[in-house]
Amino acid sequence: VKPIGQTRTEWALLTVIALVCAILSLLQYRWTGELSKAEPAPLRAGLNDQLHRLSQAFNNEVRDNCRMLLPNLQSPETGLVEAFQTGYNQWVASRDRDLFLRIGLATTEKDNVILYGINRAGRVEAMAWPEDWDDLHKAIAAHVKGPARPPDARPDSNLLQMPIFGEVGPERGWIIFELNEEYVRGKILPQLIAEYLNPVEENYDVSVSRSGPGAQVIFSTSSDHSAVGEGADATAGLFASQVAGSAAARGRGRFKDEGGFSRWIIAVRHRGGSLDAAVASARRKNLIVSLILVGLLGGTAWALVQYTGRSRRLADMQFRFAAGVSHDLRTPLTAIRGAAFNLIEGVVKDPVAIARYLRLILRNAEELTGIIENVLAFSAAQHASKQGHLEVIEVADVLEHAVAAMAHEIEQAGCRIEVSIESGLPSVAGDSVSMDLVFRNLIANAVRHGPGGKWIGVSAAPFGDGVEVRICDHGPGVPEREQGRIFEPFYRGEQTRAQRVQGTGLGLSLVKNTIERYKGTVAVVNSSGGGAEFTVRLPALQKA
Amino acid sequence: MTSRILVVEDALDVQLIVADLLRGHGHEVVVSSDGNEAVRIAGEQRFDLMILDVMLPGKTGFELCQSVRERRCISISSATLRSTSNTARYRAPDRL
Repeated sequence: VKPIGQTRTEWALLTVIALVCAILSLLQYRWTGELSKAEPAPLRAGLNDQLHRLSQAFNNEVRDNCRMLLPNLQSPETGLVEAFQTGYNQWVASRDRDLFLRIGLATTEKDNVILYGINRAGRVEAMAWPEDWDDLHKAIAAHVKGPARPPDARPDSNLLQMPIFGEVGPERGWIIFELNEEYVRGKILPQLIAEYLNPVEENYDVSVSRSGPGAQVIFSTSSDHSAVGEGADATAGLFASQVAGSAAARGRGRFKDEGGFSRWIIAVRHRGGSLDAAVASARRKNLIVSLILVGLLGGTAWALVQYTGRSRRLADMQFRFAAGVSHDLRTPLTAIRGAAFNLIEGVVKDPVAIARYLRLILRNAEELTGIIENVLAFSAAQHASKQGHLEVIEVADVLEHAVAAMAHEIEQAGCRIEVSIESGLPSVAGDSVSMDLVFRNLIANAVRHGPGGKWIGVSAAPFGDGVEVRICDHGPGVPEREQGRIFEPFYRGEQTRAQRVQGTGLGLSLVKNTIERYKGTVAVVNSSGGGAEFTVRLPALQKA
Repeated sequence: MTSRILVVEDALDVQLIVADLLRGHGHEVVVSSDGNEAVRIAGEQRFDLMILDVMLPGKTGFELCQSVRERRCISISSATLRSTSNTARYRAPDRL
C-alpha cells in the first residue's frame, strides 16, 4: 500500500519547518539590527574610557619622574644646585633615565638666567643654553626682568618647565625637562597600548599626533603610519602642558590638567573604517552564520524526512520480499513434499513415473537452492563495502559457464538460446563466482520473462576500453516507468506479480550491485524487435 | 465411488502431484492451469469437485468459483482455506 497519507504528513512537516526557519531568520535579522544600532555607543564609551586611562597613566609616569627630580628645598640653607644634584642622583638610581633627553636647571643670578645641566659623568655643571631651548631662555629672562608672564608651554615643543619657589619671594629657578620623543614612541607608547587597549589593539589603529597646527604624527600603528584623523572612534589628550609645583612643596607637583592643554592627541579608529562600519560588518557576519544555521536546520529536517521515507520504502520492500520469498519457497517445497508423499504412499509405481518424480524433486530442489543462493548473495553484497577478492576474469569463459549452468532451465522453459561471443575480448577484474551469478541471474530473468518469445540472445563484444555483454529476450519487455526501479532490491514489476513470475526481486539488484562494485554499468531498454535488452559494460583490467 | 474432479493449479509440478494422488484413489481428474480455461471446462463438463489455487493467471480462484456458482454447473458443499497474506485480502463472504 502506497503511504500517501504519510507523504502528505511529511510535506506538511517540511512546510512547517520551512516556515519556522523563515520566521526565525526574519526575527534574527531584526534583532541583530536592533542590537547593532545599540552596540556602537557603549563600545565607543568603553574605548574613550580605555584611552583616558592610558592618557592618565602616561601623564602620571611623566609627573612622577618630574616630581622626583624637583630639588628639595625644605631647608633654607640648601643650595639650589646641590638640591638639584641630589634629586638627580635619586632619580637616576630608581627611575628610567631614558624618559628625558635633557634635564636642566635655570637659576637667576642678578638679571642673568644661568642654565645648569648634567654632564657625561652625571654631575651638575653650568652650561650654555642649547639653541633649541632659546625661546624658553628668552621667556624666562623676560619674566625675571619685568612684568612678563611666566614662560608658557608650547604644543610643538617637548620641553616641560616647573618653577621652583622658596618659602617666600618669586621663583628661585626653573627645572626644565625635555621628553625623549624617540623613547616614548619606541617603548612607552607600545607598552601602554598593550596594557590599556588590549585586545582593542588587534582591531584598531592607534595614532598619536601633536595637538597644534600641522598635527605632526608622533606615533601610528596603521600600515601607512598616518594619523587616525577625523574619523576617530575615540580620542584623548596626552602629555599635559604643565606640571605645577614648587621646590618648597615637593610632593605636590602636578600637571595642570585644569586650564592647561594636552600637547598630544591619542586617537583610535577601528580598522574596518569606523566603529559603525565594524559593527555593521559584525552584524553581517552574525547574519550569515545564523542563516547558515537556519539553513542547516531546514536541510537536516528535509534529510530526515527523506531518510524516513526511504526507510519506510525499504521496510515496505522487505515486507514484500518476505511475502515473495515465502511464496516462492513454498511452491517448490510443496512440489517436493507432494512428490515424496506420492512415492511413499505408492501412488506412483511405474518406473518411468518414478523417474519423472525424482527429476521433479531434483528440479524443485535446484530451484530452492537458486533462491537461497540469491538471498545469501544479496545479503553478502549488502555488507560488502569493498571489492574484496579480485581475479582476472575472462568474460567469455564466465558467460559460457553461466549459459551451460542455465541450459536445463532454458530447455524447460522451451526457449532457444543464441550465444555470440567475439574472440579476443579484454580481461576484466572481478570475482568469478559473483560474475557467474550475475550472468545466471540475467539469463534466468530472460527465461522467466521471455518464454513467450521462446528466444534468448546472449552476446559479448569489445566496447571502448572494456567489454559489453547483452542479454535479450523476446518477452513483453519492461514498462518504461519500471525501468529505473527494477534494479531496486525487492522490487517486482506489476506485470511480474500479476503473472506470478517466480523470483525474489533480488536478482537484478544483485546484478547491479556486483557490476557497480567492479566499476561497470548495467542498463535495460526495450529492444526495437520487442522484449527486454540488458546491457552490462565492464572496464578492461588495467595492466600493471 | 468414483468422482470427477477438476484441478486448477498453474504450478505444473504441483498440478501433476495432486492429479496423480487423486487418480491413485480412483477418481477421474481433469487439470487446467488457467482461470479462464477452467471456467470454459467447467461449463462444458460436469464435475463433482473442483480444487482451485487462489492466484491463477486469467482469473483468481475466487473469481473462478464465483463464475462457476453463477452458472450453477456444480454444487459446492464445503471447502477449507488456510489464510495467507494472499488470501487474507478477500472479504469473508468470498470464502466458502
